[in-house]
Amino acid sequence: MRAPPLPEDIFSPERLHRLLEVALAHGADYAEVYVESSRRTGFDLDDSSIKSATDAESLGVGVRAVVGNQVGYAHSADTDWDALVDVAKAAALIAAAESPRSRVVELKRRDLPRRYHAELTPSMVEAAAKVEVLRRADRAARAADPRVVQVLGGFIDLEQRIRIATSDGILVDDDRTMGRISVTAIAKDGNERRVGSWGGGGRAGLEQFGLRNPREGGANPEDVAKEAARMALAQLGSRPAPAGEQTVVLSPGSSGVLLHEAVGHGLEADFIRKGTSLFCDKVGQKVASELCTVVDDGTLHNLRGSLNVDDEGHPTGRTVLIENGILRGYMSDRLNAGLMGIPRTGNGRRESYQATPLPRMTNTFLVAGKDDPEEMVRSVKKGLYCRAFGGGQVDISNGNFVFEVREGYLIEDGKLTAPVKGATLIGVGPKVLGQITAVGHDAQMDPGMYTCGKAGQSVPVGVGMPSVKIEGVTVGGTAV
Amino acid sequence: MLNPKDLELCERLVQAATKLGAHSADAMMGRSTEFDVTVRDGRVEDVSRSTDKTIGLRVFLEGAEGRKLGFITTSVVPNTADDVESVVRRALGMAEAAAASKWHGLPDKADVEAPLDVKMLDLYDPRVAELTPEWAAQQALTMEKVAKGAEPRIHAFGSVGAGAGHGGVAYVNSNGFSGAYEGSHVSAHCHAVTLSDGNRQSDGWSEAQRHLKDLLPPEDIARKAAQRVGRAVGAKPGPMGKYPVIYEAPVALSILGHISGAVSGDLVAKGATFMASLVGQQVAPAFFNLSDDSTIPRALGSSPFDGEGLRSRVNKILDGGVLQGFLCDTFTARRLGRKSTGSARRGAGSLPHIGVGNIRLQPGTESLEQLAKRVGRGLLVTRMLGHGPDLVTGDYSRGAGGMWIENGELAYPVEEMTVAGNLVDMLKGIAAVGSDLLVRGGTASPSIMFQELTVSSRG
Repeated sequence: MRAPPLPEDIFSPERLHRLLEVALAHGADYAEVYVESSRRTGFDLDDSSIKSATDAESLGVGVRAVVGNQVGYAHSADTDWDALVDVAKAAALIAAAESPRSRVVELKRRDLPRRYHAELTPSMVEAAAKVEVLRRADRAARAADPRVVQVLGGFIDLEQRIRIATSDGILVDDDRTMGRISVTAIAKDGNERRVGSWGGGGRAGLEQFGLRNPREGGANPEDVAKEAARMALAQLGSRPAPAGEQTVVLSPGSSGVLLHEAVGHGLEADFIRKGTSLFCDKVGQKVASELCTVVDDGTLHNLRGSLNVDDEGHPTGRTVLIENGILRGYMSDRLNAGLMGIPRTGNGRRESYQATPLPRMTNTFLVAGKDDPEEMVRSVKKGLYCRAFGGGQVDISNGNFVFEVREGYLIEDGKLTAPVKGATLIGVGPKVLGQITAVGHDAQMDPGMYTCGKAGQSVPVGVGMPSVKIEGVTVGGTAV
Repeated sequence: MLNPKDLELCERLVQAATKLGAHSADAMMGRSTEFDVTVRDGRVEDVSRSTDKTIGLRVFLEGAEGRKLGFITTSVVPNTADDVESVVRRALGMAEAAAASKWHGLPDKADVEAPLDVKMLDLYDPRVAELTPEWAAQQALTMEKVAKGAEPRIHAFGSVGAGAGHGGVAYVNSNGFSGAYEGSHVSAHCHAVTLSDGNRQSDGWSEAQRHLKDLLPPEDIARKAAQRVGRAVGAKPGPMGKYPVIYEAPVALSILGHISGAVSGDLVAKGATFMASLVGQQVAPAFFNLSDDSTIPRALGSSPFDGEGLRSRVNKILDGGVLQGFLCDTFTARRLGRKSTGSARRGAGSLPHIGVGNIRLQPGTESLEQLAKRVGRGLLVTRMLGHGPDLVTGDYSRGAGGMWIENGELAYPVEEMTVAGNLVDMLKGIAAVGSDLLVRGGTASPSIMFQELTVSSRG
């Protein structure tokens, strides 16, 4: 079964137009209706067995009315006409006038670019075939080494249909399909247990899991599982990580988490407008080493953070945030771009119809440099090589950010030596980026496994980075 | 908010499931309505209102090798008999794809007792159901004004707001259990940012309760927020080394979260927790008493029955510092050869998972000031970044900020530091728990003093 098509009788352009009028009735400047129908299936792998199979479906509507910097939002899973009118009326109450002050521009359907393609949509694939993706992962992880004693996994796919209608005349439909596999392997040697976790996926059809042809998948279950097993095995015998300031070299790809935390959130326009980010009033100033060019790009093909259109109906784009170390601009949504008089960048995103859009990252990455990754390691007398990463978090006011190294190695006299236990790294965004002294030619995006949280809303994102060398990051190890 | 039709619908779903081939089934329906308001610069900024409903149906198919579990959740209420049948058939279709297990199924009938008395639990405050966004705006405007007045260096607010909501849960299973209850919640928060010498710092305070009269007045929330963000002004990295560390109550809550995660029977069964081999052992000092109590009247984590219809209860986790056992739902209990501890948590939109209701650490007798005296030189952690430990190994490393302690006094604010150790050693090395019990949501903890953690910094 597919994500149910949006019922045309309920969400016809004429009815949406009427709802927008209701939302503007008390004098709001702008109104928008967001309709979402989604269908997810999910499976859990536990101890070589598919523990459960879930089918989740939702249909709902959110209406927003904006007056100046004030926002009224209401949503409902009731889609009968009276309920929809009540939702629009509730949103309208943010404004207090007796009569409307702006009119709804005639809705015109916009054609969208196609940033993602799904050959095998989730509804075309039997549940049994999705289960097989996890079984393949289980077999591959266990086959990697007899010390792999447990394999846990999850598979989830999503078909989402959205319709956005705005009082400035935009009407767009977007079909979004995505899938993700995640695998955790536990390796045991004597009494020591170590864990490795990896994942993969993107905004694409299920062909990405090698369901049509193992060679075409970007997230083959075998590859994901082997990487999880490798990580777990590599950490057997790891020593305490060092504490204190170290020179670190980061491997390419998911190390982009560092960028997402160190500068990404602080460059979201809502924090800038409210005066809470340390990047306020810093456009044109140096905020990173001249080797750093940081881009947010929602247009990249089939990536987890890619969108044809943001959740306000605005096309996504490529936004240069930092160019050769100089801050160029912020990521914005309609509200903040308008209030701040800055360009609208198509970063207005929301978790679902239940939430109001906020400026959010899409795919955020550091552009490739010219340096040789091996030379970076060779140049370090004593330091830390970070190969695999978990998540991170930032305080955008003082810029303190952490990111979690899951797999690390000591660098001694230019060579990788002992594995060390995972540790949190901490720093202040602009300071750490200012200490990047080498940027590799090996730029990579993460495999499609990250979800970003802000104000209680989760959205899928991509992160990317080439190998980099940073002089002086505080490592939260236990070895003093 | 409780709608008799919801129980009726759950019954129809369960009956249809067993009629169409399920060995057993359960259905849950949740409804909620709520609003949240934030303010900025003396005016309302955001008003959001929501009305949600969700249905979840679990079906078990019986076979030679055990039972298979399928689950469907939808926000589209099935009205006709055809709609009900279609939902059931989809759930059965999902079950076909899952693996059979002898541990799956509803709780044994012998373990089912009458749910706790809803009146005694007192989870619903009609006054909260009557609150309006205008009330919330007043609360928030008061907080903004009082906080600014109390701390002139406040430059902006991350968010200042209040909200309220109420909802109901109906649950039916094919063992004959049927139950429903309603609850309310009301909350307020104030997060402020100071700007001083070009540097920003943020901190704040938040409160959530089921009853309006339990909520701290807005003036008190604002003063707490102002005091916290004010003391962070001028923070810098502190000294590095091995030091005694106090987690102030708001961050000590996270330690209780890690412990309750690590004693999940699910992780034990998977070999994915460092606690697996420690039952009956002294894992913390004798003064460390930790329990999960889902029966506390008016508490946010209380409920008359768990996500599988088992009566709510008190589970001791650490008693005199000795690990008492693991938290289990029905599946995990059978897998481990134990009894469910009534720890199945779920909303209508999700499968049950093992979790806690109200986790509470028994407070000690010393104030935070007395604990600082005991520390002499070390760290008081008041803010943290990052997600926490690797529960497989217990390895722990997180970002931290707070106050540096010199000569037993709070000396200056610090930031950009980490605290690290291994939870096994950290729990054993707890030197004291404070008298300053803080209840936030379903978790209650006083401050916790660790004898020694590794503090890393560039200071």
